[in-house]
Amino acid sequence: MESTDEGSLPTHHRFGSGTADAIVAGLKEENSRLREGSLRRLYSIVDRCWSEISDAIPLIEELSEDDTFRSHELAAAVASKIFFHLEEYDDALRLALGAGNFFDIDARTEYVEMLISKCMDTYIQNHQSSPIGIQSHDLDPRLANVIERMFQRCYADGKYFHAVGVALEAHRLNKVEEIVTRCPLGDRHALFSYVLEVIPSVTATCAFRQLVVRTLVTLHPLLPSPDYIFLCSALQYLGASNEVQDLLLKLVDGKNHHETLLGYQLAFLIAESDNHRFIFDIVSKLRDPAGSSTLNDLHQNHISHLIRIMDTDGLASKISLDFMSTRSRTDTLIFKAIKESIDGNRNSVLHNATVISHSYANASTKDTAFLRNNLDWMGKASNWAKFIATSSIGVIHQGHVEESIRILQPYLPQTPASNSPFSEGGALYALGLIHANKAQLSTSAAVSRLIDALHSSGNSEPLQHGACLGLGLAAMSTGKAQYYDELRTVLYFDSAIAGEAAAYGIGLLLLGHGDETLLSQNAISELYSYAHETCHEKIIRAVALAISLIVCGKEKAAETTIEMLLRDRDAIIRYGGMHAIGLAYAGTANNQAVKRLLHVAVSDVSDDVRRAAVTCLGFVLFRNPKRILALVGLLLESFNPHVRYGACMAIGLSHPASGDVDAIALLQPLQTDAIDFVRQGALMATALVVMQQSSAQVHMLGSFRNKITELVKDKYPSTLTKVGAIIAAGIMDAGGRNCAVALQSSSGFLKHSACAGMALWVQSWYWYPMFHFFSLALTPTVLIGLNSNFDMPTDFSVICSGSPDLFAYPPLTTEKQETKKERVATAILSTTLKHKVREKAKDKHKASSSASDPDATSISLSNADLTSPQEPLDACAQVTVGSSFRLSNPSRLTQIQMKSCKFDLEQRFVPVATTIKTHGIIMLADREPSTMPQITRFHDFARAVNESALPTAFEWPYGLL
Amino acid sequence: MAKADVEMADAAPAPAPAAADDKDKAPPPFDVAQGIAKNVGFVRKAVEGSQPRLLARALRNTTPVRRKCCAADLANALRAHLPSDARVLRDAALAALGPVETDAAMTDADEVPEDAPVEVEVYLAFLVVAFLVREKRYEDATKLCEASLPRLRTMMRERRAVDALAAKFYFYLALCHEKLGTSANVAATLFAAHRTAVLQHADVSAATLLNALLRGLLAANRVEAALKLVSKTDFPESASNPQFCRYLYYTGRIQALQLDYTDAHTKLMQSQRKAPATTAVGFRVEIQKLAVLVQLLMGEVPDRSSFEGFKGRALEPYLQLTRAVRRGDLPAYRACVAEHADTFDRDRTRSLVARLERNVVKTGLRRLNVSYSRISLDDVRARLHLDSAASAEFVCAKAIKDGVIDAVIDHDNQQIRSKGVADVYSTNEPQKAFHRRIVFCLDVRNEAVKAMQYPPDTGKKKQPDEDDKEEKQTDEEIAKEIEEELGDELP
Repeated sequence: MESTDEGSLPTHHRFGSGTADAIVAGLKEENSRLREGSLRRLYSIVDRCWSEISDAIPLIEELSEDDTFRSHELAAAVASKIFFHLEEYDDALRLALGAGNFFDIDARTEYVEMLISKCMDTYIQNHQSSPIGIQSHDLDPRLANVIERMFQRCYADGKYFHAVGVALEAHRLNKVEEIVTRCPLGDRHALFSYVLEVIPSVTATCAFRQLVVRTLVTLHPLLPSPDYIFLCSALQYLGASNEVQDLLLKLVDGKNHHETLLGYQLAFLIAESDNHRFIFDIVSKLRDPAGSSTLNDLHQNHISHLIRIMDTDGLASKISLDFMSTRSRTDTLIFKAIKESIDGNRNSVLHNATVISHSYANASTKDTAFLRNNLDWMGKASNWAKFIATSSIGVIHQGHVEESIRILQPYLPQTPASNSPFSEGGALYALGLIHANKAQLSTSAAVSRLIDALHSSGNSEPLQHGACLGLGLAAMSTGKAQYYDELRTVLYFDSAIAGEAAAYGIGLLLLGHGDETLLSQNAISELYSYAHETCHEKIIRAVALAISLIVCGKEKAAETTIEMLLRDRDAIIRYGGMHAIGLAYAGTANNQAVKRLLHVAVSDVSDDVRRAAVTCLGFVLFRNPKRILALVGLLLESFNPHVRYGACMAIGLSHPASGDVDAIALLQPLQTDAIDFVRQGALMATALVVMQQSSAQVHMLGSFRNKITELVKDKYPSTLTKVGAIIAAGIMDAGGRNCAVALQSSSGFLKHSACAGMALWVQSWYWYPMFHFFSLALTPTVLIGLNSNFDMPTDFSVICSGSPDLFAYPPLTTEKQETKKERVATAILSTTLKHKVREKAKDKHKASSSASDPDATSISLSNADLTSPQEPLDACAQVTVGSSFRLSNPSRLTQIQMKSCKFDLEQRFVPVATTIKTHGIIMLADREPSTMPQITRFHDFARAVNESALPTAFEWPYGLL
Repeated sequence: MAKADVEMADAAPAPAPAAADDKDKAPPPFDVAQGIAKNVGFVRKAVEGSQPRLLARALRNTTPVRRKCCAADLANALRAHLPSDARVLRDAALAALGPVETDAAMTDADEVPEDAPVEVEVYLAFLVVAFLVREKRYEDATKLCEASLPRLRTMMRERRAVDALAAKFYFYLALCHEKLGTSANVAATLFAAHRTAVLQHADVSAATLLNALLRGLLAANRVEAALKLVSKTDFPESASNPQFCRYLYYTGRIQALQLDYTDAHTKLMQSQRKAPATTAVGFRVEIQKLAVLVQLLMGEVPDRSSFEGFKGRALEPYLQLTRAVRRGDLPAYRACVAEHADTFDRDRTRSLVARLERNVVKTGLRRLNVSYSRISLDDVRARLHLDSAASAEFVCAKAIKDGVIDAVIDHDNQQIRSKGVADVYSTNEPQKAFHRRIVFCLDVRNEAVKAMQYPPDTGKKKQPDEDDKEEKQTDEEIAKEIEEELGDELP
């Protein structure tokens, strides 16, 4: 409508418009029609001569506020555009909202886009500051209208993910509902999963997130077909064990075979999440006999299967453990080499580190061959070193609960107290490690055994120490008052070492309880006041750590406790406070938490507190690994070695098994730091990052391994650096190279036990036995497909793109031949050479081989010789097809490999749920149920791989000492 | 508009290329094809490794290529570095070059790359535009610029680092339109582009565009509009030095015309100091002319040295003016103005020169005041060549009120009496002057500190495996490149 006016303007022969002044003068006219005309002209030229008109802004604004003026909307539009050009976007938005139809949000101009983004910001800010679910009143209704139109535009363009993102950011629950109902049926599955995926990273209170998930669950019937995987994880997010149980019962009612399998799959997923309180609830409800009489036998049978899957030593853990123990690829030679290198200097610390490192590498594999072969060497450990050595058996057998007592029998306290108390204490600790996190499901004999030991320990500190740690581990997060009383009694004896263990035990016992129960509330206040009463620093530290374990994963609800710890005058308690922030906000990337940690990291007077603050950044940000690199990049260059050490740990904790090149590059210079413990931290952190990587993927892997060997072998590096190198060797190959550190489950749930494990592992700074807690964070990275009989059919594989050597196990090291006396090469006459070549060529023709170069064959032959021990395994694990290859059932499947894997839906056996990740235990549906499937079993592998006979009973050297 | 054309011819004189020619004769002849290939390599690397620094380096190395290249070189380069399919700009550029004899054998020998990033295409288009402008084929250049702009806009929307390249295009677009006398047509485009650049924080483009706008407004004699534009916008801090020089020059000019001489003088001095020392003579002459006038208008007399060091007699009229003002010699002033009216018109300094008349009178008066403790108004009239004694009286009264002279008028005896010259050294003046100089020095120092740039990884140990060998440049080389670029960018 303005175009008619524009033609009459003499704009064509001057730079800019040149008439702006004249038009502005027209605004001062009395006659409103003249003013209107001027405004129209201004509106048409404002983009070209805003700078000239800008002085008239007060006048134009006045007109826009004058309701009696007919074209006040036009005036607002002009003023808004001028403000936009002046880069004052708040004013521009305010006036644009008053411009009515002149502000056309469908126009895709810079002006409109800028103002809309401004609108969004205002909207989101406004809603975030107001309480959940309540529409705030001070929001300009016109602005809300714009947002509403934007939502409509998103619907029209089919951009539902954008819309739902805005709604979540702005905390608008009813909007989320609306979007779901507006979304076309086909996209709803994706939308639901998207929301569930992003919800942990939404900056909102726990309550809001729960509300959103709850809303999705109630909206679930809107999906075109029920998505049980989504429903189950949503319910698990809400902690609604009743509903999960109902869901499972419904699925396995025997009417539909496919649904039954799906029910099993859900059970495996739940079991994988490691949330044992939740699992315990479900299992005990499934066991509940009430109403079971009405169920038919088939249904009963299915339910018992469910229980079998989720139970302590149930299928879920048993299958993974079987995989671990039969498919271990530990390279014993590495430890042999380390042992030989450190044998010269009789340094008990290095001896100790080697034992620990070996237990990492064989965690859960039951492989004690190395220990058995080196009994004398093991016997060198004395006192607390003996404690550690004995407890390392617990790490090696972790999870194998049914054999625990049998294996440890020789070392456990006997009635005639003949054994060394250190060995006995270590055995108690080992018992705890084997039963860690399993006590919920069955009233295990281990716990009662531990309590007995605690009662009969007398005043022996090693015994008390082992029993307390063991009890805490075995009864982890059960929160039973009886155990609490036992541990508190020990704590109140006020003996440094026993008290420390008792405090850690209490922390583990109440892990993640927050202030939910009366017991844990009491515990926090009792522990806190005791921290001020005792004079032992060890106890204070353990108590502060225990409090932080109690508030693990509690976020805002832990705020009062965190505040209490942070404000304390005692640096050790503040140290615990740092861990409380790290654990309470683990994985949330909460800005407030990060800010506080960073502040302390650069301002606290105590080095310990600063180190802890930086380390805990790793916990808070482990889901945003990129961000942590940016954050600690500068801290890595801090003048304070403690901060540098903390920064190393933070990177290690947030990038486990990722092979992240940037992280490695950041850590590399610190491996040659001037301070020994920083070098130690850098080595251990690098090892965490390169866990399960192949040298095809991370090129520096080979040089890093060499570096470790050299550090261990070399005479000069300080002990701390050597310890770092030895431990790093264990971390890299943890769990027979089939394990990775994971702080969250594959469906994205925070693993409390893993977090606690890593937090306590960091305490090894003060107390070496804490090194063993590393094993709590290890998760097997496997791919196992099961049919309805829980057998592994061979006719199932997963397609993985990329070449096999990207994801291969590292080659086993070979023993170096002593090649000192090299024979001088005899001169070969050229005729002989020619003759030889001729001979070879003849041979080739006979064999009708396709290879042409004689040298090439010899090289490939020697390669084959080298790798022959692992050949059969590789052959059955990987069948190469072009640029991708297939992973057979069962295989190791690392975390980074998951991204390049997909299911093959053309085979006989296909997964019952195709949307789940290609990881863990997968239930398979048989497409040809009539024929018998081919099955593989773990013990087949055991026979194929195990070069030595099955472990026989052996005598532990400490028994003889 | 014809005026503007004339002014350009003078303001952007040939000396810069000419000087460069002299300089380039000494080293071995420059291989254009190789130069282009090297720069294209930089551009490719910049895109692939997302290092905008390398793009800047390619642009910096462009100068010799631009000066030496011929149509055939460019056509060859276009064929050699761009795949033949689906490249709009390639065809447009070739069309703009017109029929050229290309070295067919060479083109065939070089393999045509499978794919080239858009940046390479735009870079080569820029070379063609620069060539066309050098050849004064402004219409072809305009067409090619306009063909490239939509592509640049989409690239900017995709957040690609083409800021520096886009700035070049806008610069040439504005220049071509100015030469063709159609500046008014491009104003809207430039305003819109400036807005986009500001919104996307494309500092280089924003700076170039702001200068282009100011230049256009000043050429159209719309000083007030230009002043408003300056006051409503911020010149981006990170913009390049040549652009900042120009911005200072334009603002200095605007302020001089708006009677704000002190600020204008500061700006011009700053601009002069930031301008390259050896090249861009035309630009420095322009600044010097304005600076001299502004200084005279402030009542100061420029040093003789400020007229030296320039080739030719470009500053001669201004030297004469200065002499007249210094002596307070009204007839000499008038004669000078009459004699050089054309020059002043061409320099667009006539209005400023006209303002000087009052200063001539004032200076004369001051000289009288210093020389005579008492002098009759009639003598004043005679010495200053005024019309009447009454007029002399008014002039004196005004001068006393303005603080130019320190005297009283004795109306009865028709005399003025000096109050005696105060000793400046007994006042705060020296202290103030000293303070001004200190402040200036500190500013210079602070700016120097700010201008220091460190590559992001300074102080870290270099990884030996990095392929930074070829990226290593000696400081002299960089300095040379920068200097060349400076001379080259200023008209």
